[in-house]
Amino acid sequence: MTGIYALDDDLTSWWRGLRPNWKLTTSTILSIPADRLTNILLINLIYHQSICALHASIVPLFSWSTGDDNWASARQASAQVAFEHACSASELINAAISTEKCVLHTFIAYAAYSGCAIQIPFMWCLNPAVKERAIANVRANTKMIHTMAPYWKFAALLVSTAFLSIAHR
Amino acid sequence: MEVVLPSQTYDRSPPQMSITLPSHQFPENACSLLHIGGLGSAKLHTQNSLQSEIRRRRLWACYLMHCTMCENLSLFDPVADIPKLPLPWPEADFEAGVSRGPYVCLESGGNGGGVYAELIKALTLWYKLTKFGFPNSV
Repeated sequence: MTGIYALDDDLTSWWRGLRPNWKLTTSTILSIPADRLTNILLINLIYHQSICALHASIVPLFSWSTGDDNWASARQASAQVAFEHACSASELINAAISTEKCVLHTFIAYAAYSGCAIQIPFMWCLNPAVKERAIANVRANTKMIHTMAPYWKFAALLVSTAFLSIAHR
Repeated sequence: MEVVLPSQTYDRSPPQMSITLPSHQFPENACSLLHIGGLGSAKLHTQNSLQSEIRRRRLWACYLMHCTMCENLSLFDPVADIPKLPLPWPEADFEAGVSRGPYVCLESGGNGGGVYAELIKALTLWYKLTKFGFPNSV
């Protein structure tokens, strides 16, 4: 756990020092020139994906791990952190897709896939707001993976798996 | 759904290419080119000329491929001292062809670099994370 929090500190410290205009939001993404968008989006998604991977690692629902009762409260906090960052990443992905600018990169598609792993369970949430948000985010992530499919063979498999999840809900 | 690393999923085979390389060969080829071309003598590594900056940018591109694919970064040891190597100039300086500020490197920290430099810092942190001994798979 100490190692996880140390890495979290490193990421947070780097993110805090990053120029504010490179920290994207769904509205500021529109003002980024096409030739810079991939790299700036990538910086943002690496940050969100790193936090997600770090915290999801101790959450059985997200990582299929066995879990450990000694970390019950930390696990709950980490689940919330991982979920929020997965949602932020999906919203940026959706905004990037809507700009219709080309943002192809393996890591972007990978972050989209990992975001599906965290958000798919919430597509069956009883809270309608959470459920609708999860469905919209998984749809955006799937679209991004689909865009990468011609360059990334495994993406075709991911797309079919994610579409099946949506179809069967 | 199991979360896997990009190195386990990446397989690029653009339809327009007649030869399909296995994914692991991309960073390997890039690294081989880097070892052959090199960065010149150690003195040139931190030189403030556009030519040195272009050479370093090629090295950083190769470094980023390795970080993305979670490859072994010790391959860079014979070529350059990565923590001390200047990060790419800010984009405006590179476009102008001259560096107008002190250089930053991974070891020194600081936020004087451009988007490329921040990308290197971000993927270095990602690489560190992937090499961390998680209690469960990530």
